[in-house]
Amino acid sequence: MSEAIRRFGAGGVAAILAGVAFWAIMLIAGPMLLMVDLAFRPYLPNPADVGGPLDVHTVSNFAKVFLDDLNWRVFVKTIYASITVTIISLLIGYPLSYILVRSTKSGWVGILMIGLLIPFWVNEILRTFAWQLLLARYGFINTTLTAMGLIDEPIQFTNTDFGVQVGLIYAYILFMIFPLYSTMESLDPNQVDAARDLGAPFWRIHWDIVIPHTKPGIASGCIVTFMLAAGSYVVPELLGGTRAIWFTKLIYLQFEAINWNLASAYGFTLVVLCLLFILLMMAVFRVSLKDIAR
Amino acid sequence: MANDLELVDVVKKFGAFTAVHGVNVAMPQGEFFSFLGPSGCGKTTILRMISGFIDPSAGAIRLAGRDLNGIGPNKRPTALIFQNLALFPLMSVADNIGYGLMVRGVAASERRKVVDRMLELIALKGYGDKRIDELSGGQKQRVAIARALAVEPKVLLLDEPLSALDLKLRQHMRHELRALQRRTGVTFIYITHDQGEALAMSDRVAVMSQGRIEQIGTSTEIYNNPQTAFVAAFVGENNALAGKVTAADYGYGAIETAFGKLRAANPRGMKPGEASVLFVRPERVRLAEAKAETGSDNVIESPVLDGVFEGPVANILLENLGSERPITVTLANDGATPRVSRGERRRVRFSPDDAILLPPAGAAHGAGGHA
Ligand SMILES: Nc1ncnc2c1ncn2[C@@H]1O[C@H](COP(=O)(O)OP(=O)(O)OP(=O)(O)O)[C@@H](O)[C@H]1O
Ligand SMILES: [Mg+2]
Repeated sequence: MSEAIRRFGAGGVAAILAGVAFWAIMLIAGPMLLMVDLAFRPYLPNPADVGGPLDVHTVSNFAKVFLDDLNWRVFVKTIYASITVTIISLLIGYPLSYILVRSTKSGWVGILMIGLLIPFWVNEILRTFAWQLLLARYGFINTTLTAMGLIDEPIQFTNTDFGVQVGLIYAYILFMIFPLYSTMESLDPNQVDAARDLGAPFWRIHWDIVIPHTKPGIASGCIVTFMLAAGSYVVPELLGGTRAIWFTKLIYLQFEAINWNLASAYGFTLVVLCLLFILLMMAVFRVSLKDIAR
Repeated sequence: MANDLELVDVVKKFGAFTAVHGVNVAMPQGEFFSFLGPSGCGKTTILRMISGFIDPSAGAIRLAGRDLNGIGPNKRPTALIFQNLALFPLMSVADNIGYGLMVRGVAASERRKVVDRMLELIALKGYGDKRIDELSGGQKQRVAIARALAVEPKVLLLDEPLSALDLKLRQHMRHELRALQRRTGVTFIYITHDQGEALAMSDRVAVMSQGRIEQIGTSTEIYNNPQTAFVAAFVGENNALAGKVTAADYGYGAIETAFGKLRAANPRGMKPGEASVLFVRPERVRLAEAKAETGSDNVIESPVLDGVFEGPVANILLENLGSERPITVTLANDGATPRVSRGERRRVRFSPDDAILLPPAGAAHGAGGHA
């Protein structure tokens, strides 16, 4: 702090702090609190009523959210699909991270990392369009499979939950790999060798040594991937179309209908339920917040 | 005694670089054997080949006559103690010690018995439930040994296990390791670059340099009868006087040095005309009284550079002609240590029987290398 004051002067430091405070309060916390507040007020089509006697706090929006059977079905589907996406990302990301960590010495790691990163220099929407081209009815995968004589009829990938999940895994797998990689990298390779020397077969080394060590990375990778998948809008919109609807689509539809209050209630519900779900999972897998921050 | 572990012409190449050049060793069951050598001479590489983490480029490693080639580290009857111990920090002391048995499918009740026995062996009874980070350095050391011994290995491999400990503890652990080895009867292969450690603990020592074994022998053999200049210079303190052999007869040789002609034992049979180095231990050199009779002793005279008092001994450093490394004379502190002053010329003497002629370092390899 004193170092900073010496370099930038007291006024400079105050300006920087003020900037950060403005950014954190006005641009992050403010809109969120505003959204929560909106969610607890009725929708008043006439702008003149806003702030008037009719504009009271109520849970009527939430009643609408919870009493609608469709909402529940879409919500459960979103959670279920996001869990699948998270698990598959973990199943792909874990061995990939392990290979990356083990190849740091050989110099391959740089090439592998670049290979992972380059696709992500492209915008998420464009990447998802690319998957649309691959998965389309007469897209690359279907024409290839047909040409090889493996299928007679094109398989319906787009506009299905499956297609959306493939897109989500691709979109967010790096958020799984990076925390896994960084926790695994801190594991002393001698630990692995020691377990092996004591007679542990391949899978036991992972079960007893690598996975327990990587647990914080697994937890944060899973949480981030899950939240991103459950909150994704672009991917289900482009790959799911009108058939595979995500909960985010319901939120958007309310905003589109200019019912910001109901939309906020939808959004707030999604955030809270996802958080509850994560806390539940953390309790089940005995992960504490301290572990994740480690 | 049957030979337990044998290394036959073992070579290890990393690309174009040869880390281990044709090493041959055979050790009987129950021996405490050390590899001693400077950093980078290939000690760890040898140990990792014995434990199976890397394969030799050529040659064979045999245990009780069986070739270990192609057998993975998890299937070998060897156990390795890592330089940094590599204890499992997320497991208790007991779980660490019992880990090898657990992965072998030994039942929990049986496992507990072995763990208790091991804890007793390393004098840490009642420490089973502690976490690893609650232990002191010496205790961790002992847990690592117990973890390795619990799987009843035929050979225990130790890679500089004491290097992380402070001096006092290191000396204490030397005795403990040696005692543990005697009690268990397991073959210990010990790696170190600390010659004091190697000499104090081992039945036999292999001195290594640049991937080759220079000499194998007991501590006394290595110290008193070094076979190469490298061994003479690396193990213990030694004074080196370079020169040319002028005569050789009956096991002795004469060498012309910057101090004139000196005589020394000539076990390698060096011939007149050959470049050679005379080695004499500092504790074998004595001060010569001014005009006293020196008999057949070698006498050299040189200015005193410094006197260093070290408690039990005092070292006097004399200028060495033709070398930056001074000549050291070590005198026991017996109450009659003479005073010397800097710059004063002193005469010192040593018997030809206490000096040895060897080819200069790097001149001829392969003098040792046989067990
Ligand atoms: N995987 C490897 N690839 C290339 N060179 C290696 C490899 N492992 C070891 N070396 C080289 O082989 C030589 C011997 O290494 P080694 O680790 O056996 O030395 P050491 O005697 O154990 O040394 P220290 O006392 O420093 O541990 C070194 O020059 C080292 O650089
Ligand atoms: Mg080493």
